[in-house]
Amino acid sequence: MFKQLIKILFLLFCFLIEKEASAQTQFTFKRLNDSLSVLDSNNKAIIALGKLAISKQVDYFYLRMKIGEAYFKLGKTQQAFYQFHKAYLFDPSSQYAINGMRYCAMLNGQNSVSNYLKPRLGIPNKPIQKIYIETGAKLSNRTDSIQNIYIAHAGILLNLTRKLDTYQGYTYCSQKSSLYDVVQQQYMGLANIQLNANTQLKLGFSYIHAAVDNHLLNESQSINNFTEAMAISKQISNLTIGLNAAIGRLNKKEQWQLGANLNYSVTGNDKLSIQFKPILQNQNDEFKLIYNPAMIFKAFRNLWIITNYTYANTTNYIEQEGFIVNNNYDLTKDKFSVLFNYKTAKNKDVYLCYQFENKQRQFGFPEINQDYTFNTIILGYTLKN
Amino acid sequence: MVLIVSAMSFNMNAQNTSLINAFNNSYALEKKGDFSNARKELQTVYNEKSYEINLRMGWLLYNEGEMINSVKSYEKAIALMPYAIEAKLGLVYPLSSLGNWEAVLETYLKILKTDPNNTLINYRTGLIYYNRKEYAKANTYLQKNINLYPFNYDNLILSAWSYLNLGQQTEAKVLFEKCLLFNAEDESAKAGLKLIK
Repeated sequence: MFKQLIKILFLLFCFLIEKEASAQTQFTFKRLNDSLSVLDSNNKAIIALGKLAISKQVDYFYLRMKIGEAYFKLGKTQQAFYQFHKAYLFDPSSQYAINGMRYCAMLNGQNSVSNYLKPRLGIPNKPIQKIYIETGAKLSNRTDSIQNIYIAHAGILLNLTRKLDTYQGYTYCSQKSSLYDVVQQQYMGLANIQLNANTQLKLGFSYIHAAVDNHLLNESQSINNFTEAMAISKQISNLTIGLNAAIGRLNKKEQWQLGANLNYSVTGNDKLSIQFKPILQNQNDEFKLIYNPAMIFKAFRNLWIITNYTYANTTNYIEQEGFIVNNNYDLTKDKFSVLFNYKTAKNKDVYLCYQFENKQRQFGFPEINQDYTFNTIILGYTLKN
Repeated sequence: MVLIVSAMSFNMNAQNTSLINAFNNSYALEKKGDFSNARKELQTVYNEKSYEINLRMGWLLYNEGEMINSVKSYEKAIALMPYAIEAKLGLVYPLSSLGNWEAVLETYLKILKTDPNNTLINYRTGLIYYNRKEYAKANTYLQKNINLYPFNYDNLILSAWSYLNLGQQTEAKVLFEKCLLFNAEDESAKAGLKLIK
């Protein structure tokens, strides 16, 4: 370890001394190449030297591949992807660069990126990518007035073309009480369009039908709601930045929202990431700021834990960059969730999610606010093809 | 006045003589495989505004294995003579050694703007697009060559494979058969025809 450090420092020292020398001897390609060959197994030194070369406008395909391989060997697959992508821009026909990107994308869990790259290597994509099934309950702390909600969801992720994946989902929710019964059915269509290896565009549409039976007034009501969402994201090394927008008509209220998404992989792979999502929402000409920090970490070999806090500012905003619709009449003040995703086999995941939600019901005239909480448990299963 | 002009003329002649000598010595050293000293010989008379010196420095640096500096020298030569094809043909040597094929393609496309019927560049551009699996683009350049040299094997066989990959079997078959006229035992043409039948 100490010897490696001395070696890195010595090399950096040599190159820094050369900075003062004349233009021709400043940073010679041959010397760089020779040093990279000598440092064959010293990945940290290769990265340090490579970065120094790039800062001096010495940038070429083989250098980016070398840095990418060094990052890959260190397990930093996000930075490796970035370097392989830079190499790919120097030579878009390089199978090595494409394969490097694809392998990193697979390890980073970026399916649509992997699907985008596979056909370039002559590997066909499977039309059915994943099947999701989940069920759960939202348990109220005030069952005298607010009943539990039961949820079931099924979805399928399909690959249509190299650049296009689509998710089709159906959700059923029911809430029954002595006063009223609500049955809600939702169709969700999502298109993932991979614009290039590191830029993705998402388009989403949800149609929600709610049937309400009011036992007290003995009348039935049918409500049709919809939302449309769009999000674009770009990955730059271990940072992913995104912008999103959504519009909707939820329970006769027009609303729109604009958001940003920042995701930083602390470890440069899927072991530890932090996220921050601020959202500006407008409903009934009232602006509200919502924010959502999250942390994703790999606890064990096959277990990922996602913790998430949302300050929802007493709204019913559209979640997950506008793709999950919170259609309840009641408003969310804030919530905390923890999700355990366990990979049981190569192609099977089981997840368990617990969520604690502070809710508020507004009713009557003059308006009365009634606070309550939901404890939500969701169990899901993912089958990958 | 006459004295000043004579002095200037003498000075110019002396400069030219030293330049000719430097180039001559440089060629002699290159023949011996001593690229480093061949370049150093030119450095004694280096003038950044000289197209010829920068061009030759580019070549010698490439042979020394100094790819980045070779690219810089060729780029200086190109900046001095923007329409020069030879400097661009030289530039692609270090660029391809660095693996920067996108820059190679850009250089070829610049050459074709000046000289659209350059058969060497049309073939190489077609080959780059073929390797990128952009067969329609590859054929655009190859077909230009085939119109000028209808019985050139390299263009015929690459164009035939491009047509085959595009699913245009009739065109591919015609071209594969022309390749067999060139060489009846050609393995590539036979393999292509086998895929069609």
